[in-house]
Amino acid sequence: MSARTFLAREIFDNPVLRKELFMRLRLRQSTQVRSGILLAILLLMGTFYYFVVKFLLGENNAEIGATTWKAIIGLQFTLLCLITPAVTANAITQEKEQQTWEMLLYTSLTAGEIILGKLAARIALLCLLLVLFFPISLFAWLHSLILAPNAAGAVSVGQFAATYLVMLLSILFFATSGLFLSFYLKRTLYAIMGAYTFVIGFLMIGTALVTFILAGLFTNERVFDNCPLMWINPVMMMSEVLNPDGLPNAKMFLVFGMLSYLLLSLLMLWRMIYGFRRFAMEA
Amino acid sequence: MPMVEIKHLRKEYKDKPEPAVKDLSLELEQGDIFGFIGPNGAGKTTTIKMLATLLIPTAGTALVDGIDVVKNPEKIRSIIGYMPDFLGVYDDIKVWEYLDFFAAAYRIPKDRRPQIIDDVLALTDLNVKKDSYVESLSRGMKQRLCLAKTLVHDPKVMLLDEPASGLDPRARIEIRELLKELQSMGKTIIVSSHILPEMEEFCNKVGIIERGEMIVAGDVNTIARQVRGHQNISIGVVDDIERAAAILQGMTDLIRDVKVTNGLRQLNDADGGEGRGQTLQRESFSTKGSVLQVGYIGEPDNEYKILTTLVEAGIKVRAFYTPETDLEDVFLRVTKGQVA
Repeated sequence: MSARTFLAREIFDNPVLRKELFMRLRLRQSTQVRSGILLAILLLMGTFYYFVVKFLLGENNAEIGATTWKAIIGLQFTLLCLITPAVTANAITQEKEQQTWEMLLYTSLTAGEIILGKLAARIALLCLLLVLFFPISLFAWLHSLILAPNAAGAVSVGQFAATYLVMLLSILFFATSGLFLSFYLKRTLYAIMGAYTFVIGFLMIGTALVTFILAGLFTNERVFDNCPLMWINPVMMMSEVLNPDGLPNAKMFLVFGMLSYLLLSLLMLWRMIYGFRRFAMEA
Repeated sequence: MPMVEIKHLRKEYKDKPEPAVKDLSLELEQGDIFGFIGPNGAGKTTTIKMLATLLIPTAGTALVDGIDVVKNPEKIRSIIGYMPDFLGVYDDIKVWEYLDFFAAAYRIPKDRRPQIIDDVLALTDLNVKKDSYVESLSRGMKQRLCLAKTLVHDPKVMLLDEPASGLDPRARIEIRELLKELQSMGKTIIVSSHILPEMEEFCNKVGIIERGEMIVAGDVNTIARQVRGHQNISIGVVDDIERAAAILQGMTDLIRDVKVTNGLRQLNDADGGEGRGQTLQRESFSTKGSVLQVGYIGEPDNEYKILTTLVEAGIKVRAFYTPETDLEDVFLRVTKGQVA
């Protein structure tokens, strides 16, 4: 099977993906309510855009643009960390709870189609958040770039791209871990709790806490740089990509963190797809 | 070649000391409607799930249309329609969208799906609900929708796990009629149910399973005969009941016992049980005069000899029939109420 055929079947022509997107984007409320929801989103985003643009246009300092851009990225990243577990951890448990999982397993769909379809649908929704913020992010970045492309603290093209790459990889990793928990657990509540515990409890707080303890034990000031556990801390990764000069070896740690996210995501996907029928059938 | 061929099927669960299914063998031909009967936890659902490729057998083989369910599960899923014992439906989706999703999941080309959806909706009598949201359907309708979903890929064999479970009498009748329609379409159906009189009505074969073991399996009347040791025959006569009884009692090579009952008692008996409407109609026919209940022990095709003897003796025979096999009675006789 060629890569194109594989992608067409597993992703683009995937009934699970289409159903998931369709059902999640469908608003069953009346036209008035739907219009109200859209209007509220537009108003919220419009206000945010208005104030940011107004603020940036009134400033001629290149650093202000860069700082604003970093603030926007930080806001997006915080939202992604908070939303992703809730969005993904119900993907399969919901099917189990509404007793449609077995029927889905029984169809001619492959394990890849089901798992990747569900993952892609949720990642697509999470990417909407990036899309919503992208114009203002681009504006703030261009503001700093146009005013002083070579100034200290200016955001380079590479840094801009790397930041989005970190966000996309974080989405992939958080979403896959949520899906993974949803695959192995029976209840949505437990899967969501597990996903938040993993992303916020372990990756964000746990890794830092362990590092602090290690720092205390070994009285090593550089423990943050040298403890690999910290390299997969999403806050640390974002801080490394936003302030590449802040830490020695930041680039190396960042690459390690990004590769870890990618490999762990692939490992979880492989585990789910490989053990799909066997596990799903015996569960 | 049998449509379904199960040989020495066994299923063990890690967390249970006793196997859920042990040494189960069965053969079904095309067009057979097999009623799978057994108490809760007997192994019906496990067996059905193994056939549906949802569980891997610990030992034994199961072939459907000559295809091994373990070796080629993808192919099996394309020729089997499986309806689980619970209502699994997506909310926030319309009836036709639900069917379209499953049709796509069975890789039915997009251009063929609308016609197939219309056909299965017509078959399940849900055409008027095509654009309704699934969550707005009654339980009976949802059950029929599940059945419609099971039919979208035109399976040769259907596995229906408790299709009438939890339904009200009307919905149960609707499902029963639907199964009869599917039977007329030549589908091979394996159906598990606790409502034995209904099973008796449309199943040509039944199997009784207890503690994972198939106790008896085969033609309903043959099983009843095996279990009871005789076949019941009812003979309505206009008069001369005593003489008719005496003649029959003399046929010791064919008849084990003869009982004389009157019409009134027959009516009460027939009116007694749930789901016995069909039996009531038939038994009511015999209420005008006396009825002889004969325990026939001869060959299955030789019942006519009794009738010939009576007619030749001048007995005015008004009715001669084998009453509905009381599957409940058979079930109670062969099972002990134990689960695996």
